[in-house]
Amino acid sequence: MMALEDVFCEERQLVANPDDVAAAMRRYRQRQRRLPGLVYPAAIAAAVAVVLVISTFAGAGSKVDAQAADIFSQAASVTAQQPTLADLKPGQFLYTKATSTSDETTTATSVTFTILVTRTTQTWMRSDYSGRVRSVLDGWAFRTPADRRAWIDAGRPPVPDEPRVASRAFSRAEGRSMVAAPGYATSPAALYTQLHDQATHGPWPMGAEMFVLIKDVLRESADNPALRAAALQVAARAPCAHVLGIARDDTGRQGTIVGCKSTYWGGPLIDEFLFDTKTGALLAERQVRPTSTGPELRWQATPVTQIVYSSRR
Amino acid sequence: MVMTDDPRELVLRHRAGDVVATEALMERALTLALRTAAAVLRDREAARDLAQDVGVEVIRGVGRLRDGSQFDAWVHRITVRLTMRSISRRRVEVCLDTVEEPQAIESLPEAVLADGAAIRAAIARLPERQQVAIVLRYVHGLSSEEASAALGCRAGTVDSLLSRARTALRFDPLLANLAVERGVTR
Repeated sequence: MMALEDVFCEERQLVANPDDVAAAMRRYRQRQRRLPGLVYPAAIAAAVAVVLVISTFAGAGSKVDAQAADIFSQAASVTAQQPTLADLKPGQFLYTKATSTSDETTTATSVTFTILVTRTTQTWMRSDYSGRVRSVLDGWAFRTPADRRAWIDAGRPPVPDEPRVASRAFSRAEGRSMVAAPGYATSPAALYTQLHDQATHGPWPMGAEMFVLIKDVLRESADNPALRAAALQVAARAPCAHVLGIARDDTGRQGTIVGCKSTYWGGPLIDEFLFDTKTGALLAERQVRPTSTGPELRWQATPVTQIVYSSRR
Repeated sequence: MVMTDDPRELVLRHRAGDVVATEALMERALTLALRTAAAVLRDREAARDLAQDVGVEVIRGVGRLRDGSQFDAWVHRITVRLTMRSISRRRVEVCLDTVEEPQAIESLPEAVLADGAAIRAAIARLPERQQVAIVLRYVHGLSSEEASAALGCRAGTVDSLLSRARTALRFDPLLANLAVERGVTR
C-alpha cells in the first residue's frame, strides 16, 4: 500500500548530528554579539510603504448576488458588535465547541478508499487567552459503500490512526493565535488585498479560493470582531456567493445557507456558510461535494469538511 | 546520570544548568526542524541552515518554556514560522503555459505516488500553509489537533488545509499528465 507518507520516508529518517548542534550553538553566540546592529534593518523594514491594489474577485464585469451580499453585510454589522475576551469576568471562560468532519483518502495497490472522520474539539479560554483544548475522535465512516469494498480489498488496514481523546493546556501566545488572527488587516480593502495575494498561489480558481480563505479567517478570529466584520464585507463582494436555501445545523439551529460553487475546473465543490436567520450570526460552515445534480439534493451531499460552531460564556 | 528522552525532564535539567540536557534538547529540536525543512524546502543544505536557525531560537527561549511537555509543539511552531518565511522568499512560479486545463485524477494512483520527486514538486506548488500542513501530517504524523498547535490555528483549519491540499494534488496538471503517461485512466 502506498500513501502520501511514503513520499517522505527519507525525511522521517533524518537525524540531527552533533555537528549540527555545535553549528547552531556557534550561530547563537555570533548573533548574541551582533544583536545591537539588527535594530537598523528592522527600522528600515518598518518604514517600507505598502501599496494596495484593489481588484474584484473574478475580474471586471462579475455580478454580485445582492441577496447573498445583504446577508454578509448584515452578518458583518452584527459581528462588529460582538463581545470579546476582555468582556469576560474573573473565573469565566469562553467555551467553544466545534464538530468537524473531514475526508481522508488512502491509496492501496490498485484501489483507493475515502473515510469521513468526525472530531469534536472543545476549547475553554480565559480572558488572558490561556486555556485548555480537548479533542475527541467521535468516529469515522466510509464515504460510500464502494469505499468500504475498496478497504476490504486493501486488506482492512487500520483507520484512522490517532488517539481517541487528546487534551492539553495551551499558552497565552497559542490561544491568541487561535482567536485573534493577528496577521490580518482589519480594513476590508487591505484584507481583500491580503487574501487576494494568498489566493493567487496554487491551482484553485480565484473566487472559490478567496471564499475558502475567508472561511479560514472567520474560524481563527473569534476574539477579533473588527477582522470578522471585514472578512464578511470582503465575502459580500464575492460574485460566486449565492443564497442556497434554509437549513438546520447538527444542533437544530435554523439558518440561511450562502455558498460558493467551484465549477471552473470540473469540481464540483460547494463552500457554504450557515447564518442564523434571526440574528445573522455565523452558525456553521462546510465544504461539500455534491453527489447528485439538482439543488434539492444538496443536503445529501458528501461533506468534505464540516464545522458546527457553538459558544457560550 | 541516566539520560532521558522526556522533554519535560530535559527542560528541568537544562534550567538547572545540565549541559548534556541542553545538548539533548538541541538535538531533538534540530531533528524535528530538519525533517520539516527538508520536506518543504527540498534542499538538504537549506534545511540544515534553517534547522540551525530554529536551534538558535530554541536556545534563546527554552528557559522561558513553562511546560516542558510542550517542547515538541513549541519547536514545531518555531519551525513552521521560519519555514513559511523561507518558502515565501523562495517561491518559484511554475510555468504551466503548455499544459491543458487540469482535470482531476480520482485519487493519486500508486504509479504517481511512486514518483516522489513529482509529488514533492507538486506539493511545492501548493500555498505555504497547505505545504506545511501536509508535512506536519505526513512527515511527523501529527494529528489535526497537534498540527493546529504548530500552525497556530484551529484543528478544523488543519483539516481544511489538508483537504484542499489533497484535492489540489489530484488536480495538479503535471501529476495528471504523469498519470496518463503511466497508463492510469481517470
